[in-house]
Amino acid sequence: MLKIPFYYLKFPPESTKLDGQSIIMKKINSQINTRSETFQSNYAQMQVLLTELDKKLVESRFQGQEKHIEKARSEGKNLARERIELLLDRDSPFLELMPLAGLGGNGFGPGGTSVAGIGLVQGRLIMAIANVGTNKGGAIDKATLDKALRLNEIAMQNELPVVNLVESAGANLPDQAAIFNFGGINFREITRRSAKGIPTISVVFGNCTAGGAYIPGMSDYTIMVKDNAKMFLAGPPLVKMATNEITDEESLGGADLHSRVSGVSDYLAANESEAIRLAREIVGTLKPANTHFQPFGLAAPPAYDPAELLGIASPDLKKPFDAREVIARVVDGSLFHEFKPDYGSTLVTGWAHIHGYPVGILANNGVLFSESAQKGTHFIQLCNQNNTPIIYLQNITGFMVGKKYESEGIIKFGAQMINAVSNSTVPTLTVMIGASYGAGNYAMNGRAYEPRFLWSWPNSKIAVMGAEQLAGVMVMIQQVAAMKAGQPLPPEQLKATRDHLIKEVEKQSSAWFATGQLWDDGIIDPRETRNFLGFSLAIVNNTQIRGTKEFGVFRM
Amino acid sequence: MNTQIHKILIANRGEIASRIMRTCHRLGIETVAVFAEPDREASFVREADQAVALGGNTSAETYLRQDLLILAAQKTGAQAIHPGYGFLAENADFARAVREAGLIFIGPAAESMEAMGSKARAREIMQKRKVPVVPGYQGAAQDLPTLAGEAQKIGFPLLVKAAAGGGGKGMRVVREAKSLESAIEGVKREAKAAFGDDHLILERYFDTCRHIEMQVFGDMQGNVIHLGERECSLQRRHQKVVEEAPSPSISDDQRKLFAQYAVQAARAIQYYGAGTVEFLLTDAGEIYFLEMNTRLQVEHPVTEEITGQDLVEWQIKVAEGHELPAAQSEIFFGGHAIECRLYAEDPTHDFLPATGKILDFAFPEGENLRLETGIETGSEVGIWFDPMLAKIVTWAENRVEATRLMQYALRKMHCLGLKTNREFLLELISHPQFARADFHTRSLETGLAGELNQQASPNQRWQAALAATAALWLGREAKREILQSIPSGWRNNFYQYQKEEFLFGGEKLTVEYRLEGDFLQIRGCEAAQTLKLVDLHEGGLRLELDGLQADFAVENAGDQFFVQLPEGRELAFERLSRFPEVEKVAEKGACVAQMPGQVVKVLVRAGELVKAGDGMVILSSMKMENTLSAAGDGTVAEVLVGEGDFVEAGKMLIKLKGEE
Repeated sequence: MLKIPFYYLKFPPESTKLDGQSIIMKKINSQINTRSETFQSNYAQMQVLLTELDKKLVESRFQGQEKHIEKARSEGKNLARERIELLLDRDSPFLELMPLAGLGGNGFGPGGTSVAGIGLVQGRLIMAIANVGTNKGGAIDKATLDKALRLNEIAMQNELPVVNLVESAGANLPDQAAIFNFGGINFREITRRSAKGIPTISVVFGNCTAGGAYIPGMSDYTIMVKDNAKMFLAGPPLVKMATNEITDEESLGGADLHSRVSGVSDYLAANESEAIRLAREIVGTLKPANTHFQPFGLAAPPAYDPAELLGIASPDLKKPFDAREVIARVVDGSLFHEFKPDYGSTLVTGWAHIHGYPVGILANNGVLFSESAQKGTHFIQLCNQNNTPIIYLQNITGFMVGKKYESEGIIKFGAQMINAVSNSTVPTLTVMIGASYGAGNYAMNGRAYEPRFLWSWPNSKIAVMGAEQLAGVMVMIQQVAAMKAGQPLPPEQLKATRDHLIKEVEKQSSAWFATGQLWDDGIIDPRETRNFLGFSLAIVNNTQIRGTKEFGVFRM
Repeated sequence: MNTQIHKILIANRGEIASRIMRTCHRLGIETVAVFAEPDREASFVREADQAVALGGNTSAETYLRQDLLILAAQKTGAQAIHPGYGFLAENADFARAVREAGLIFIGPAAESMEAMGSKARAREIMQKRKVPVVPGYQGAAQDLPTLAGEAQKIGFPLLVKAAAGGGGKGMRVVREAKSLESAIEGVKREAKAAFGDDHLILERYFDTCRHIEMQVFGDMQGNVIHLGERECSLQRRHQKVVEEAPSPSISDDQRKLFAQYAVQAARAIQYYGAGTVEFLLTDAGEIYFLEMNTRLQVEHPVTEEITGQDLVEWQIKVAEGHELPAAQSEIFFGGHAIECRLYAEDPTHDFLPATGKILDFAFPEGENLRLETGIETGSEVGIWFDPMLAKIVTWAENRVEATRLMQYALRKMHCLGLKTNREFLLELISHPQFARADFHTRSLETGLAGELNQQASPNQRWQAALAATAALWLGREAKREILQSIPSGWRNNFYQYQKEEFLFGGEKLTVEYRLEGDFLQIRGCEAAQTLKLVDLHEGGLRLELDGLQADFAVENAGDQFFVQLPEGRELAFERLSRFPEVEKVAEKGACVAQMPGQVVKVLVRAGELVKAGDGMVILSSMKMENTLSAAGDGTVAEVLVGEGDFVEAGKMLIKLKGEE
């Protein structure tokens, strides 16, 4: 059993090999001074943010009150997170998606009442979604629904089989107005995926009523746990109301009934463990993924310590940092082949590998000028020609403004880049590493441009413009209006308005707010950027990658 | 008239076949192996220049088929047949048949074999030559009343032996008259099966005596010399376990006497070739001739080690017609050699024979370390043949040092996959009583035995669990194709540790771990908090547990795990599935095979009433017969096997309707 190549014992491996060939690229020469005051101060501030992230993630792992958990245990049930751990292969990495959905909102807490992510079952990538049945009965709040809709997109785009670990009371009724309509997408997507040959396997652990019943009902495979799982369009009380029929849950929709009589369930599992084992066995019978590329062996880590990213990224967005320093701590061996290094220098473009996957990288190194936008457009087309996934490292306060730039047609060049971003068909990944303001967000593949995954560093900010600029503009407009009316505002009032606006906009531009709104797929520890991207790349390579030559009209 | 031999057929198997071939090849003699089907993949078959399939499974169908062996020799052009030990090695008919076929039989004259092969005749000859023999009966009358009468004369305890027996088979001690009859029947049956001759002899039995044997060698020119004695007192059920040379328990005067008797005995029958004269040394210091083995002994290596001679080479030279390679005055004895026999057996369960696949066999290299074996990693140890797996031989200037080297060898070697007596041997030779040479032929069945077979400590169980966890983890990491560069068990919202669960007997151990950088953080484990994988090499997995590096051997067959700890402790345990089977209710009162074997006799019929302890089935495994008895009173519901069936361990043989 121990006939294992020795290199697996090396942490980290000594060299990067891809298909037996060493990657020949230039190593980035880092200029970071870890003793500098800026570095130290950035580092300290980032650690505060990371502590906050940890705290919020702890909250996201809340699985219900003790009494509900105890009750579940007494029924031989596992908790949602335990079910996922049991479903996954031993030692499989697991990329939890949107763990802080709904953060800061008035729903059921960060993450909602589901745990979802991507990991390995029988050695292949699958999406696992578990209702947290012990928290509010697994009822669906708005954030949980939004998360589910986004999960549907991810599963479809990356052709991931989905394993639903179901135990949900259905829509949270007080929230029904926010949920009912779009909730239907869940069922539509299960069958649309099925039509494309992407299966959904549902394991029912507990009650699954009304709309909830259609999740397993629509699935390609359904497993029910004896005694615990129940599925019906209406529970005994509603049945009584509707038809005056008196019945009990087990004979109305028990696992036994559905597995032996109705045929709604395909497998009757003796207990949770058997149910999960069956789900794993089913995954083992699925056709293999249509993998585009899979690297061989272990990739070389960056030559520079990724922990230094904490001191490089500046929480003060007015202080720029060199994107190459970030790239050097993310890509294999810190090796980077830079494209057009001497042109449009506020956008760094080039090729590298992450975990052995080839990527094209676009990273901001200041505001976008016409040249940088043109360079970006060019580079995106090249990545499409080469079927290479693109990574956007977004740290952008916007396009350059001013008379000179308008007159040279910066709008035209910005439009070209947005055209390229919009029509590009290679998978893209966006990481918010600093500012994300204005049209820069669009040109750098913001959420609206459908990157396959979007990750945020906790220091990142996102808004139409910076809070101070926005407040400044607003105050200026108010003052102009007031002066037109002949009643100029007193400076104290202007200041108060300005401060209030700054505070509001700051809050709404924070990564915490953004992730709560699901403007991203998760806030990440900058040191883990490489693992997030490597994981995402494995997922996007789960299907064929085909670039395009078809773009909209490039205004010249 | 000397004949130079160029090709030898070895009518044997396993380690001795390999041993003989080694000398042959060194001398430039080609070798022909013969093999039974279960041995098809065995190393001795590959090592031979040619090999002939005998086309059967049992000894009787193969290694005992004189016609096939001679035919194989003729077909391959072998000039000589070396019989090894056991099988046909002491069969005079075979020796004669070989010679009549115009081939050389590497062994003594058939007449010598007949003289000594019958223990009865041997006793007579020795008595005539004034070599003292154990009081007993060796007459031709074999009826039960005669034997019973003779037994009364000799007194109890006495030994019932197959006259044609050897190698510990076909022998039983009888302590009371009432068990005489069943012993006689049993020995007759075993003798018939093993030697094709059920003639018995009876001998006085000494509970505490020593077994000393002399290696003798003669040539056709009439020279006879001895090559010193071997102490073989450490036996179990008459199977030798540890042998050494010289004997640590005899005086020089006794040694001279042994040598004198041995040479006298050999001369009495104009003996040529390798022979061993076995003696009893009683507590009172009496010396009795026991028997003479007219073949190369299993334990011949200890003699080779202290004399520097190759006894197989001597056998070949004598068979070629040469004089002995050395005269008595040219034989020098130096140092001390010990041999331990590694058996496939379970010392913690009454030494029941074990079968299975050897998942890992490794032996440390060393100048004075010698391994004689016919097995290797991947070998299947079946029910067909002798359970001896290997002989481990050490030599040093003196006994203390040879013992230390033996301890080292037994700690470092591994033979994982099936139960062996390796640890038992290690404990035995590490015991102060061994150091004092304070033992007798029944030590392993009485006092000393109770002090061996130490249980593994909780800490050792944890270490084994950690080693298994590390091996499993490494195996999974190596197999993972997707997400290879993502750290094992990576989480962006960590919830719980990875987990492996093992069952040690009834005790469940759960190893919880999490990869932290380049080591595994372990939780809730008594043996260590951190585990680092350092290296993977022949000796096993080198692990660093809380900063301490050592080698662990880990093997598994499915969920059955075998771990050998650095200190030599071996643990077998079960890995628990993450998805346990829904439990089945065990069948009550059933009779289940404890080990694989062949059904010799079914003693009950369906519908029969049985009482607890009644024999139900006789099962033969590794040529040992075991009677499986009813665990409780009841009625036989169903007999699931028939005589001659081969059964796997765990197979239900008899279904009982128990009485509550």
